[in-house]
Amino acid sequence: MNISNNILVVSIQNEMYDEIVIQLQEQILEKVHEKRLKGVLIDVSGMEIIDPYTLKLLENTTKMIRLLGAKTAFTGIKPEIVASLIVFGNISANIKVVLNVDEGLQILT
Amino acid sequence: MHIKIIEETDIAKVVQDVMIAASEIGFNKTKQFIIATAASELARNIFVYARKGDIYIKDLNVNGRKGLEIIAEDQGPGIANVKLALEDNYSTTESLGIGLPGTKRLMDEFKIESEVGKGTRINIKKWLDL
Repeated sequence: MNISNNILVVSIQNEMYDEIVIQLQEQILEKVHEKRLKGVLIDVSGMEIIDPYTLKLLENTTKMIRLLGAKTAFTGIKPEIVASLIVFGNISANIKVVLNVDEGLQILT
Repeated sequence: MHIKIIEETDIAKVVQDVMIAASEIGFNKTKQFIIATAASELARNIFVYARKGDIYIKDLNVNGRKGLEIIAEDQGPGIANVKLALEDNYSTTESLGIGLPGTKRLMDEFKIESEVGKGTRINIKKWLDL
């Protein structure tokens, strides 16, 4: 986790267990509150798989960050993951996705 | 291959093992993710609804036709109305609950047997040539 221009950049590496996602969620919320950050950029390119439940957790994280007054964007979702989620269907992916970290920093600033 | 679902980290183990098994059979990257997503959903259902159960991953080779089969078994509460559980937007807990129709869409074959008070057995297959 590092902060650049009032934006918290979080990189999720390796496979994630829900418990770790929830822990990370808490850490992000604390940081946003403590440092009065404007946005959070979450890079998920290190995630092996995002199943519908994990997507829901990430969406909830976005909602919580919004309640603290900050914005969230995601980057690095693998095309294979997108394909699986679309076939699975019935998914409300109410999250903002950007092409790369640079675009994310621009949009969140 | 057999994986016991006892704790939440076992779901990630299922995902990893299914990805490896699918890649060894020759499924492309997208199909590997599709099968892993379906398997993850079954493992999660066991963990959320039955607390514990078993996942079996089997290579299929029927008259030269290759594929992957995943069986999810538990002695949990069972599903009272299987037909309803296979409809979109059906949910008994607020976690997600849309797992079954989505899982069915991801796979080529989907079979479910469930009895209230006894448990649930779900059998899914993906064929390489389809």
